[in-house]
Amino acid sequence: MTVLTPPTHSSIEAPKGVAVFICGCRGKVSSKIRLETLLEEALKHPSVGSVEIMEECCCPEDMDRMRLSLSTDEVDRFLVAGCSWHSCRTKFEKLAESSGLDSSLVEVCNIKEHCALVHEPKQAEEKAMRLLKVSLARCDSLQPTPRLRPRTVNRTILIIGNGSTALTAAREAFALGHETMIVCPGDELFRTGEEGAIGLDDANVNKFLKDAEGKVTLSTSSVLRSLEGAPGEFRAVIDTPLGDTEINAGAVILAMDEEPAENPLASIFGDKAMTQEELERRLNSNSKMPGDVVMLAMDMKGESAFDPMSTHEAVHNALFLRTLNPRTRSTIITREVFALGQCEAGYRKSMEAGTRIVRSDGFPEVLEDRLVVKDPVLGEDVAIPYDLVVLDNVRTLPDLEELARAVKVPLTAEGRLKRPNAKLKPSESIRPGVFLCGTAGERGLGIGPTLEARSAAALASGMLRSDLTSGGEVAEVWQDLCSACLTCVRTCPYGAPSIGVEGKAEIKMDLCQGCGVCVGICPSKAIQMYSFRDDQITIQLSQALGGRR
Amino acid sequence: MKLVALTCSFCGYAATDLAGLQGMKYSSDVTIIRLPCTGRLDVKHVLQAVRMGADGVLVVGCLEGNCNYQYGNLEARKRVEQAKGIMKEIGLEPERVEMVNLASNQPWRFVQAVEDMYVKVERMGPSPLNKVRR
Repeated sequence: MTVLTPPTHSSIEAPKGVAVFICGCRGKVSSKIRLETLLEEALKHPSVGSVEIMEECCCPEDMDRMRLSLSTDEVDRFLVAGCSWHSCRTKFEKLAESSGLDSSLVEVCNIKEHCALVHEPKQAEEKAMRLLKVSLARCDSLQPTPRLRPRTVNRTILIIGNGSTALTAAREAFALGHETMIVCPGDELFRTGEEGAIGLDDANVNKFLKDAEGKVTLSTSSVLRSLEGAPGEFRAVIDTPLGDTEINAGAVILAMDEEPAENPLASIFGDKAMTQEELERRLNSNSKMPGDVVMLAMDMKGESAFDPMSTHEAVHNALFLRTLNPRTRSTIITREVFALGQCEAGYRKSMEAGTRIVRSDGFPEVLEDRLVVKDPVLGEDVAIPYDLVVLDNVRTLPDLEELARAVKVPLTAEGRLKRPNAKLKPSESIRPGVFLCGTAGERGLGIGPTLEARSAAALASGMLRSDLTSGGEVAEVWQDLCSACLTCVRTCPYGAPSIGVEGKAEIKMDLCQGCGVCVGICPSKAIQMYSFRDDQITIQLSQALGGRR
Repeated sequence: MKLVALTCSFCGYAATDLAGLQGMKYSSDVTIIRLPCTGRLDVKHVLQAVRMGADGVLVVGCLEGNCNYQYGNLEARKRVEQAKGIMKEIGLEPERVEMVNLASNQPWRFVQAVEDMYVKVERMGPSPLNKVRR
């Protein structure tokens, strides 16, 4: 029996020829490093077919020159010695594609940021020579990464939600021309006056559902049982009151909201208390307001623990209140005002309209008709009369465990749906093709549920615009070496590896994100990544350290 | 002196770029090798680098909790600790291997880590493996 082993430097196809381009970066590199010495060094390398010195590789004229040099049959890959991999990779991958080469056979050697800009000329040149050798060795060992079939995407969007965020996402998806299905675990999707439901009320929700009949379907009292497949071709099993149904969808949006609960502070103030939500409703219906309104944006301990963003609402509602009832005095008592993003403008307007903000490091003393706050700046007690106390909206997290298991998105310690790095992927979940919005998700950029829902729907729509391909930089299992120890299955952050019918691990290419965490940990060394194989890293290390093995 | 920095493609590599763009100075003895994520690191690679004559090895990843792939940097830290353990067992200074966590806008942390390693290696002298081979 022949054992199939992962490809290594010796078993992959030898390169036909490497075209090397050395970029002077308009003097930034060429002023420190003599490019001719690099050219000579590159020519010594056996697989190098041609070497050219360029003025600036990323300008269109030089791109055209490079395309011309790449149009011969003698080269199948190229290396650019110039600036960072981050700044020019996409350009060179496109260049490779337009020149008929494989875009995975491109290597970038950073002689600008890593050499010319940091070191003195002599050291920079020495280091550039070393980096060039490392990159040439890596370039030789590159192999094409797999490109799987293009997947035809299903343009349906499945939304799982229990409140206004789901509805906003559905409206956006409908506006972008997608068929949408909303799966709601409760018996009612929309409750009037809910937070974040800007521009939504019973009448226009019903109108929307009527207008969108046939395009948007709502399934209440339904639960998602499982979600299989990859972006563009998900298969979801949904448990509805009429029995289990299977639905095909291209993208999934998780839009779970927190559920309203009673504020524990309400009992202190009795009928003089109401929540921000109730205040909004009262203001919308133009009811009369008393003279002194105090907003208490804190919990029992004086912390902003109910919701760190609650001061957003307080600031906006105070402005709203002052605009409608100029005679009313509105005061916000809080430890700290968060006015992020657009709220900065609202904060300013609110202050200009006469809202007073009083800082308090603890919970104020409550008297019959006034609150006594110890002002940390004055060091004195300040008495604030009140006729009405407005409290934070308090919400509780719904139980998301079952949903998390079905969609394979982990929960945080707090019980919220986990979000990847919010700066990089603001409205996405950990699983590709599954988008995340709603207040029950891990806190993200704090742009508010409405914008978050719209952004999730827009991202989902963008993903489904064209056909998707699987593959690229992924990990693959060489099953002959696999001992089915489950290490990869347990380590992968994305649930890509599983044990297949043969009793060996296999990695679903559609789910793999190419981090390589399974490659490094596999005790049998049965997993390899196409562009970061063990032997590639070894040869790079060897070249970096003077050619020893 | 021979130093190797294995960086992840995200914060680690971007920080080294920014160090360059801001014209910070660090030892030119360090060679930067890019990995997709520090989670790709194998204990083997650290030991290989030492065997090939590296005086110091730095593994540069994103800040903890900020990994682009959830927890690759935490896995990497475990593997670096493992490599240190092996080095101690075979009689090499484990301080020659260090894991650094930084954000892409913290190039000074990279520069600091390189300088710290430089000072440490100067104090310890070149790798014993290097002496034997010479």
